[in-house]
Amino acid sequence: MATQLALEQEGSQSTAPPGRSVSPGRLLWRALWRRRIARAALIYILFFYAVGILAYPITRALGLPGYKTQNLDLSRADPSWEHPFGTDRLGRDQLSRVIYAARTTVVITFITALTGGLLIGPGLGLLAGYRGGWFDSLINRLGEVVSSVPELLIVILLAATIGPRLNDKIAEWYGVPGVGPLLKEGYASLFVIYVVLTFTSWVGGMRLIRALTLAVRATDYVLAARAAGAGTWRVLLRHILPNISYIIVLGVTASFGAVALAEIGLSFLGLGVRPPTPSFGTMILENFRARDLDQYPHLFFVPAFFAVALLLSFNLLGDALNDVLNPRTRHR
Amino acid sequence: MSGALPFIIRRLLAAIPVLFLVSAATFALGRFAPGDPVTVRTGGKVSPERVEAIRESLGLNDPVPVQYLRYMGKFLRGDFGESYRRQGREVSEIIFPKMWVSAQLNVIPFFLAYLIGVPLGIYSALKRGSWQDPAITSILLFLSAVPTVVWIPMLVYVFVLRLDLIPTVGWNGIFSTSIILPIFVLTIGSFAGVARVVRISMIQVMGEDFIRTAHAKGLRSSTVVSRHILRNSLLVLANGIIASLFSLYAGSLFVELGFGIPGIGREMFEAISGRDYDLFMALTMIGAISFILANLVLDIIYTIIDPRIRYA
Repeated sequence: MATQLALEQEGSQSTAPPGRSVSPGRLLWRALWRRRIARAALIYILFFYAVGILAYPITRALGLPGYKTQNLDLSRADPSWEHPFGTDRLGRDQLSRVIYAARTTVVITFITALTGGLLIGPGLGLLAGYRGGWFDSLINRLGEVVSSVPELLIVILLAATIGPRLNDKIAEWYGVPGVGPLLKEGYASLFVIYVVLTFTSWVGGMRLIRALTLAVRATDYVLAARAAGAGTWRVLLRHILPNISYIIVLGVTASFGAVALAEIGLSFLGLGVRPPTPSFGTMILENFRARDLDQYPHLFFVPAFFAVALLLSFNLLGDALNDVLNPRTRHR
Repeated sequence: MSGALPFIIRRLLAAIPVLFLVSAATFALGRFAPGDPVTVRTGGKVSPERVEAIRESLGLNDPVPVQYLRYMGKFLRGDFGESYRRQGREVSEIIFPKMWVSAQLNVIPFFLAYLIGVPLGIYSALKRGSWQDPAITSILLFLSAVPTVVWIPMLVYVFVLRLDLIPTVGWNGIFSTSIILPIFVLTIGSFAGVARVVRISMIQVMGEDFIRTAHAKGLRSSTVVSRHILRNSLLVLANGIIASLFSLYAGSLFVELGFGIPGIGREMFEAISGRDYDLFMALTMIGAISFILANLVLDIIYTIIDPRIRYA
């Protein structure tokens, strides 16, 4: 409700002609776009995701060698016209690897944030909050168990134990036409990261959405809908969900950044994306040691720059969204 | 304070099934992982018959539930078992010195985070509406956007390799120059969060009616801030203190790996990747037990500092 009000205030400043109703989504978008920092962050995020999605055509168009094409004669070459970011220890083109690392980030953030952050967490929260009873207690106890161990510990434990098993299982599919080559390219290890991150990340979203659902459930219009004979799903999807959808948007935005960060951490520990597939975590791991850093600083700083810029953009966007949706803590 | 004892007992009883699930899941995960602990222990240079004999003597050929019950029986009596990688060394003998290293490493950043974060959050909230507030927020967002694994090489590059200000990296005790960079990284990782929480909490309290009343009855602004706003908004810090203690418990892992410090985070990571069953079981259990106890203590502290909160 506060959310609705905040958006209306934002909207009233805009040039919307009076009398015509503007959807809350549009109001939110306008309020965001008017903030210069949020706009810059959004543009960088869009650029990053476009590069990640179009990794193959872009590298082809630029005439770059593939991310795993080795050239040992050109090990750790300095940046040049041919290799703008230089080459790594195995003589692989660093620009090509940065572009494919963006693709890795795009894939892992999309699948994890959309299922864990959008479907599983809020979905369980909605159901637990609305249904109550044994389902509510079960979900909450499960959440308590997961959150009673430090998150990083669970993630490492799962990645180190389930990870190799899952990878072995997936390796059996390498021969399957169509899917096999994709799995071999390293998408299998992305799936492992996805499972591990989803296991811990649903709890926060579930708790938040459950609390909000409890509040909305107590309103008169939900009572009216139920009195009119609406079933559980109808009430949830038509009456409760639209009222809390902005909070879910906020949560998903935050989880994109968190997932990108977690992938960097896991890959840095050698538990994430497997070589030769590039990711920002593995590229940092390959080039962060003091001796390499001394002689070839660009091999570390260039990928680190693109990764940090993405994380910063998500932070700034999340802050701007928060500002728009929570007028009480706004910077004014 | 009525109702404190039944509350504590109820919470402790509720922790038992949670601990059971955590321990069973961790144990099962350990056994599920590929790689044989005996091969790790013997270094693969021993005949298969001998390996089999060692497996038998360690009880690794028994069904997993039997192994679990036996382990938990020993654990509850205070026997954490033996390390598989470092032959014949007790787990407790390994982990307590490492915990001490991590504790020393984390104590300074812990206080620094609050010493910097709290005043910064207060200042930011009081300057709301002017340029300082969004400027501070942006700087904090920038600092917290850089992951630990990027901070470490960046600082090493600047201060060790280029400026040559700090000679060594590694662990030389708490009173040495090599601790400066780890402390810097750990502090940066946490003070931004503290400042943000303080700012939001301050702003929420500033919007309450009693603050308007305090201003209206003619109190000086400094009195309103120190006696009315601060007192009510610093409550959230109690929650943050426990959270930051635990983020330090696991979070110094990257710092310990990056700077070569023999602390508990690194030990945990190596235990998990090296299939050192007893060692990581002990670490997980100690982590979970202290987490649950800390949250219980936190709930009790809440009722003391804020009488409006009741035991539920």
